[in-house]
Amino acid sequence: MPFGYNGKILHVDLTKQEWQVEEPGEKWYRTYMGGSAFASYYLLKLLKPGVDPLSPENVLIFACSVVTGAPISGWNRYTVAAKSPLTHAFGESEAAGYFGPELKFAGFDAIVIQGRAAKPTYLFIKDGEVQFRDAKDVWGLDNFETLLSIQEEVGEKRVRVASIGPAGERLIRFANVSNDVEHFNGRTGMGAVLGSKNLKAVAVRGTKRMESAEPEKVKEIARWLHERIKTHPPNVGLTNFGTPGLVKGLNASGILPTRNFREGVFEGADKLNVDAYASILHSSGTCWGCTVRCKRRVALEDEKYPLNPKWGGPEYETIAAFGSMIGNDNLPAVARGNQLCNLYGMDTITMGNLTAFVMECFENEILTEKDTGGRKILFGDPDAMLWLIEEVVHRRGIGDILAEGVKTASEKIGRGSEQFAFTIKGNDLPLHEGRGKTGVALGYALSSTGADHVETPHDVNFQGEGVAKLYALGLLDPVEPLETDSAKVRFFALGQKAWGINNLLSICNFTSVPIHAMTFHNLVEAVRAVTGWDTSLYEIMLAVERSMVMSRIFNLREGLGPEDDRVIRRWHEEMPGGPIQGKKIDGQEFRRAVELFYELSGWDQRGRPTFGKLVELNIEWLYKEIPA
Amino acid sequence: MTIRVRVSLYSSLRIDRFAEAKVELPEGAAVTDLLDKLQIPLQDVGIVVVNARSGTFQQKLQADDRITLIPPIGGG
Ligand code: SF4
Repeated sequence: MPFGYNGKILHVDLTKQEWQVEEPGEKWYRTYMGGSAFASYYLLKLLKPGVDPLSPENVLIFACSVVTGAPISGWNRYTVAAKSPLTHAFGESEAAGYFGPELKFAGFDAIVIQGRAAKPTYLFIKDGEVQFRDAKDVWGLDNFETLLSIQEEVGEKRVRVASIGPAGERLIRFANVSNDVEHFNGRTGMGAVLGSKNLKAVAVRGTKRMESAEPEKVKEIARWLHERIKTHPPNVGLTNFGTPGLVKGLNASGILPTRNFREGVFEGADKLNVDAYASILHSSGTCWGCTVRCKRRVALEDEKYPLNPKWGGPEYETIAAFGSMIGNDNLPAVARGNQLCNLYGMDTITMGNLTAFVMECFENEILTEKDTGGRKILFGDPDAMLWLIEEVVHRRGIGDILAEGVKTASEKIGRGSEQFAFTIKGNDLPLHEGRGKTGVALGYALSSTGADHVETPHDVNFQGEGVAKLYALGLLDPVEPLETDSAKVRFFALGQKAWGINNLLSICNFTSVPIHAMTFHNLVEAVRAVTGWDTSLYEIMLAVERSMVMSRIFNLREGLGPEDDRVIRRWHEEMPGGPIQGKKIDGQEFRRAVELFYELSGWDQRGRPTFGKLVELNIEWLYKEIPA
Repeated sequence: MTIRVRVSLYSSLRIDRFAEAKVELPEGAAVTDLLDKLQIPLQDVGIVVVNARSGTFQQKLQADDRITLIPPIGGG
């Protein structure tokens, strides 16, 4: 019997309403390990290139890892993946919360979903059994109502529900997947894929617990981590202030994305930071088995911006997306926008980017009141943002165009609006400024999911002796956040794989290497103790690279090429003010850095992994998939 | 008795302070005492490194220790 995982992958065919269980064996699990790699494996195996992401042919994957559900803080995440309807490339988004561990307790390590149900359906998975349930009573409901209804219908208060709201049903291309309305697989439009399959939700309930090979050792590491979380500064910050604690430092450093990435300092940042958050703070929340408790719930009795503690509180990304990015310093309005998006099931990062895009088009008279039925959409107006959310979710007027995402919307609008539409591989940007951390710029350019903040090393943390956090990987020199030289590429290549460990093993970054409380050494010890495998950091990082190369091959197969490994126009222009005034990313220097990354990664000049690289990673079977 | 430690500040923590300086502290002082002395609120510090190892706020400092403070500007 395997330790840490079930050895079972659930395959669901929605068209035929059938399910079956695959048992791939230990070698497969040890090769791919979890999350992003499980997803790439099935997408490469089961999906043909060129498929419409919203057609029944798309394949939808919910994946945990071999260690998800081990009783260690943050070992609770899961990935939702498919070909993305937003980017038409590899789509993937992770979330913490409770769903991942519950899926493991219900007897499965991952779910692979194919086909399309003839009518709205949800899956109820309980202790190894699967039911296809009629979703007619929940179709049309928001995520919160859906959660309550499904809990009641299946008669299980403790059922964990990953669902879509009206946005997913209406195939809005940045619809997300909600997990108990507090945790979201936000990015790349996975909610629209559920919607296209007539799949309202996946509800899971499991009563067993995962067994570890060395339970005492696992407990010992968990206790050590628990103690370290109390004293390790980045975790002390998260526990006390949550991610809103980032606003102040980013703004003071001149790298808080402001007004559609035009500026890096927002004059209203003090009204968005953690002190201001106190006025709407209700309580802190957590995820399965995690002692960091970084989640925030908000409440406000207010006619205009009422806030309900059960509908989620804004994280840093949303505060910046609905705050500085649109020139808005009204925090209750930010939180209201967040709650509307949570209920409707839309990604707040994309919604903020879209709003900023429309605002800049208005400023430049590319869009006018004629396009919006008389509504002005100007920077600084929070009600314009709330109005746009409603237009988009109902696909009304301009909202119907915006529902396609920033890139497609700008192409449809035309009139030069493209110059204000900022996306990378079709994905709009999480709220981090590449001109002030070029490692993040490289990450945005090179990630298979396009601009993705959880697939990238945030270099500002490794200045001076801060680099000590990467000594274990053999990186001994301090990192210069503003440089794009060979040292930065070396740092990036290693740092990306360090972050990749968390994506692969479905571990929350906020508890893990390289910044937070877990150390590389104890992480490996814990994986050994959970799985019983005589594994090493080397083997795990090889699996991380395997996963990245596989998603790269997926994208190559879909027709992406080296021209897609780039950043946005605006980052090649000088930052107009603030602490990094005048700083820009030099286009040629950046290109050289990307090509150097190809070279050190064993990719050819067109960014295609070489046969030698595939041999090293034991995935020669994919060589025929790489276009000539 | 006092001790002297070497302090490096990064990004926004440098504003109105310094990039690198020697700072005098009473013997037995912890990182939090250093923050008090430099008037840096706890919430403004993301990463503490003491002598090229991850440090904690409660950690006691010794003469000639090297302390690096970086604001919370990461993410992920
Ligand atoms: S650190 Fe925060 S987001 Fe991560 S698992 Fe813990 S509570 Fe959840």
